[in-house]
Amino acid sequence: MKALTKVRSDISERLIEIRAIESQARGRAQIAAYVDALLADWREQGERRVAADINLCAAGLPADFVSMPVPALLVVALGVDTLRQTLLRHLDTLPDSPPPEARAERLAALRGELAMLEREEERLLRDAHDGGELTAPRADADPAVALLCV
Amino acid sequence: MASVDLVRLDSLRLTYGRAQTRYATLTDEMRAASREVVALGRDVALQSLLGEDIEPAEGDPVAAERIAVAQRRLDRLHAEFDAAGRELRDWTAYMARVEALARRHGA
Repeated sequence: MKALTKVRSDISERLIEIRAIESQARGRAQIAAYVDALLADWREQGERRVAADINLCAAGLPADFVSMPVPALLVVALGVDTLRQTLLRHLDTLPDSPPPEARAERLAALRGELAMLEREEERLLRDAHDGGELTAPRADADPAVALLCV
Repeated sequence: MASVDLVRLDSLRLTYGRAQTRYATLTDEMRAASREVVALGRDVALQSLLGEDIEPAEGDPVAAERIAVAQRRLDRLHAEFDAAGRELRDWTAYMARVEALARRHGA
């Protein structure tokens, strides 16, 4: 029973880490890069629009300099650095996540360990059941571990 | 394609059945123990009310001890019953998926 409790605790640790990694698809660096790409795009749109309005103005045509998508207008009005600081102000509150390649590698390692632990759990359960104990399987255990033979 | 380990499937079904029986037995035992505590308490209370020459419950160490023993047994059974109930819920959730998997593989 002690061995089973230990194996289940190890399984639980792996599951928690797997769920944490899976639920955070991007780490801080990836989020910052994503926002930087957006900002670069909005700045380009804004600058193009301002330049066009200056040309319109020079040609004596109406130009209001603000008729543009809101994100582009924000970049033009506030500047990239200020807007970046505002958008990323909560970034430090996120747990950091390894880069995508390292995430995939860690997930694969965790899944391998999990599969091994689940087999050990099933072995201990079989022994318990064969010995007449009524120990319950984990409610969320994968039944394939107990049932399927390849 | 993977095949179903029929021996293990049978063993799981059998153990699950025994866990269900154990839970039902504990339910009966707990009800009986509960009735016993109530009956003992009622007897003592009745004796106190009816017989002037009979000491009240507080003054009857034998009756008080019998009630305490029955109550301790009830408390123990209650703890066992709760644990068995939690285990049975896990069993039921697991076995539903076991049976579904077995059906998918033609077992």
